[in-house]
Amino acid sequence: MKKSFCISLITACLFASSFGWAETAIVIHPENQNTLSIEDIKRIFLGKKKSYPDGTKAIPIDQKEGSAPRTAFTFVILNKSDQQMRAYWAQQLFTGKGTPPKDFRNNTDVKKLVSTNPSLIGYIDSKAVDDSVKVIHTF
Amino acid sequence: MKHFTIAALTLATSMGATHAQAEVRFNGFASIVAGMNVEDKKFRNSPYDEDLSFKPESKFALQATADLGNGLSAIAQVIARGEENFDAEFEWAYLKYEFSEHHSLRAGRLRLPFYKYSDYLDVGYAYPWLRTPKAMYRLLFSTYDGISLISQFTLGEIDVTSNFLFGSTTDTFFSTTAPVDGTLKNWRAVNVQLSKDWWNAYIAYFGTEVDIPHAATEAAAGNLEASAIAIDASYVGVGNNIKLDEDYGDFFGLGFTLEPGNWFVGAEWSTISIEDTLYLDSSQWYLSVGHRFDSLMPYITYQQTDTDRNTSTAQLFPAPVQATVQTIYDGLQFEYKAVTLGLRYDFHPRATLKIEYNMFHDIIDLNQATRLGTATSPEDLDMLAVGVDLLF
Repeated sequence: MKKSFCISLITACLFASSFGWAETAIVIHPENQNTLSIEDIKRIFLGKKKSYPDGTKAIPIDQKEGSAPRTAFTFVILNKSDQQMRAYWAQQLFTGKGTPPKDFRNNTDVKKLVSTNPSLIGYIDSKAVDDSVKVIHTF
Repeated sequence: MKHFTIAALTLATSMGATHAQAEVRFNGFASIVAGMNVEDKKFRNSPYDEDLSFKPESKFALQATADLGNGLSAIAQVIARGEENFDAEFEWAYLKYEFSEHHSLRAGRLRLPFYKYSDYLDVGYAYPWLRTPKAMYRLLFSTYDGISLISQFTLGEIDVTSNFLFGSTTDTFFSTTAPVDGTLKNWRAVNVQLSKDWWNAYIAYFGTEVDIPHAATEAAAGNLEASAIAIDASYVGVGNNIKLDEDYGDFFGLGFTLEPGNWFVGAEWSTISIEDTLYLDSSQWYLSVGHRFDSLMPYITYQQTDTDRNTSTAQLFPAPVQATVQTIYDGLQFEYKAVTLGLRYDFHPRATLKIEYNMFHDIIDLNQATRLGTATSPEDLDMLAVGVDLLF
């Protein structure tokens, strides 16, 4: 009883720290005027959609696997587990259909890259958001 | 800060419109599998005998993807299989040109997309099982040399991917019974896949001219034709109904995969036939169900393959020869059912451990080279395998 309580408490904390308390923002370049649905975002990150509605090139960038924003993004937006995503990219990669988004170390790197390239789309901790990027969705 | 600049530069180079030089990416995968038959029997669809062996299903592969910019890329995959003494072979080697957001053309050595998992047949990490269900995944050749046009578009909210291909396969056929070099000419095929969040489905049709000078078949055709001519000279050429001489062969398959929540349900069905030849048309299917519990995924699969009795070819021969022809055709019967229990354990981000217990039932293989079981006394056989699949 005690043990299972401890485990559920740990799980709850892990869950909360990953998804509950830290809000994540999906960000694009401030000059990027496109409106994107969750479905569009998902398709861009799965490599199924390679351009924005206005026809310009869309390039998704990830954070490192295991980071809080990446875990939240994979779970909430892509609706997949890390393992499912690895299997998905293995399928794409070894059939020449696509390569996974490049991943970057932290919120700062992702924010800086997005702020300098109108093609990029990324996600960062909401607390890291400033005027250099435009938030299109938070979760 | 310096780190960031380097990262930004890399990104700018690799993602910008101009490519001073190709970006080459290396990836690999491997499977190390040990297995054995639980009894002292050999069966055509088990790569093992009663001794534990690491060789038949282990493999190492390395893939190089060179992005040449402006939609052009070159991809080569070299694979070393235990069953081939780990001699490295090019499994894929092709150029790909994405000439629009929705279309890409590939040319070179490519995979024949018969099945749901054809494209990553060797990448064990990418599917739940230790191996794809053998009753369905029964064709022993998997590549062709030629071209392929892949188109991706959406119908409402459904993703549609079509693959039209043309080419030929030169390989060693009947490798489990009587190996012989042959050619499958003029492949023309289409595979259409539909997918949405938690489901996908496909339908595939392949046609080819089968040209395999299989010694036993040629001999049987020659002898039977001679017997027929001895009775009536007008039977000249009747042996061509038995030879594998550019006869039309086709494959029709379909399947679906559902992944609602932590469930996995997959099923595929196919038929294979070759006209005017010593071959029995077959149909095969499987249904597999699994459930993910964090890093563990137990699964169960039922599979079955059946051959159709051919009585029409014998009718083409004069009456006294018909019984012999019928006996030869009936001797090709190959059927079995199997239940597979397995467990996948994702113990590492880049590696997964799998254990699978296969129970083959009602085996009827009347082929002389691989004979096991008869219609009146079919055989059973259990097979065990443990493997690790890696991605790197």
